[in-house]
Amino acid sequence: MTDPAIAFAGIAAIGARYRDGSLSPSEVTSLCLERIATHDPELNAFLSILSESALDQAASAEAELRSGRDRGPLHGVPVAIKDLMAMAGVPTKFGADPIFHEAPERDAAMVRRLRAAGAVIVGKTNLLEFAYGAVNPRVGQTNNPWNPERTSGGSSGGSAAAVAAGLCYAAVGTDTAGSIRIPAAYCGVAGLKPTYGLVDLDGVSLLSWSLDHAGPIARSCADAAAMLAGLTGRPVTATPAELAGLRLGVIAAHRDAAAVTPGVRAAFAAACRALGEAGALLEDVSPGGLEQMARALMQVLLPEASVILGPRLLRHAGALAEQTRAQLELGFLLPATAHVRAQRFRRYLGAQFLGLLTACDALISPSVPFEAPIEDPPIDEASGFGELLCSTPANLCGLPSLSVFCGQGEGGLPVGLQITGRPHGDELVLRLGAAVERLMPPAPPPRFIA
Amino acid sequence: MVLAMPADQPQADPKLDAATICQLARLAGLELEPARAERLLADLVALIAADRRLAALDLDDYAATGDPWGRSSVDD
Repeated sequence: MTDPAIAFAGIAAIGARYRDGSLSPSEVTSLCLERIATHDPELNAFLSILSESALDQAASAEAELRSGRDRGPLHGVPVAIKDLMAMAGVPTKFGADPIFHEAPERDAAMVRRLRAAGAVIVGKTNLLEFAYGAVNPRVGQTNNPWNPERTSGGSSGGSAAAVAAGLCYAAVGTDTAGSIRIPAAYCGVAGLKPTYGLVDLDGVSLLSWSLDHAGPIARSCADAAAMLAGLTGRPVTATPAELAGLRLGVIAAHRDAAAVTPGVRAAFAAACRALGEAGALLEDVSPGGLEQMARALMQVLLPEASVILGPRLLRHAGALAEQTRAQLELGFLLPATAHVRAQRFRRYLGAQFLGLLTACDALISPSVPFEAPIEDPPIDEASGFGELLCSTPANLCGLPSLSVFCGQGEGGLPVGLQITGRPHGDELVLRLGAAVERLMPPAPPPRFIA
Repeated sequence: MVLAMPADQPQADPKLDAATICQLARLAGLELEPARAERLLADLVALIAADRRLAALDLDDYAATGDPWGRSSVDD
């Protein structure tokens, strides 16, 4: 394999070459570090690059494989983690002003899992400030590998861009209202928000106890499955699902929303046609409560984030992005009854979705109504909450939800198809995503990087 | 204990100004300058209006706690 072919290969292909001795973790880690040095100045995907420790980990992984100790699919594979999770001895920067940086003494649970799986952590990735919707101007946004004049989205934009650009093989993101799936869609990669509670958030800077999730971002569903297995310690595979007879509910209100661009509409329609031709049974569905959804999410998120982060962050309010500051302040002002009512609404919405998922095997929609914009839109009334339109139900209902590349829209930018499944149906969601990958033309390496 | 609440209170129009927001913030432990309160006014009014719309829904069958999907599995 040539260098780009190695950089954009799948995790299983790299692993096979480790095991037949034709490639080593040190060689692949060095390649990733070289690619980061070349491309990251334009992308701004990494907040910390861990060259020395990554090469040490790669050497250890190599020695273990040589001695017959095999930790599984992630053994020796370069990955990245979003820079809001603790890694002992490495500063956590949160996408924020240096006044907020922390120096953790112990690893987050996910980092412990990745180390146990033999993964090589090459760096910590950029994010919207504290994953709360805004770019801190001192940090800057992560630019999109498909077009660096566009954003990679958020809040896990650094993780998605790093994966899409072939700077690592998979990364960890977090998702409170779409923060794994939105950047995955903008960057043309696969991003899974798992079932609520599946991935341990110990050691992660939280926004909301009841909405936060962590999960994998990778270039394929098979690689996302390998990463999810590493993050949970449970076996997960993503062999493409048999589509014949599978029942897929199309969320009509999201497909037909005014915010959906012609490019997204066309790519989603083409994917639906392909699924139908492969034997899947597609049917429009209309869950109740969608129009209240984004605002209800804010009624849950704002007070929880303010309780978690407010006292620490508002002491240095001037160092925050204006939107982060305003959201933290607003959370102190909402009545407790609004939070409780929104929590009740979630169970209503959950009943709607669970009812649909009794009749259907999964629900599909565009992941985001539009292609990657120039910068991340604010999450507010004035923007119509458009970026969150399709992603929030899975956060409110705790359902596994995946964005998978399904085509290119305006300007050749990628479009994501979202697949949402039953509670703990993460593997089926990934298998459906793998079936979409097999049906649709694959995502080419981003034009800017290739 | 029975709380006496005016029946029409959830539908009342929010009447907010910067001084009231500063007072609310202080009660919640946050000191807010009047200029910040002015900045937040429109967003807070919108959030409270959204809450009024939730209050108008019949959510009596739904608890505020438990699994976010409402039941432990689709088979329950």
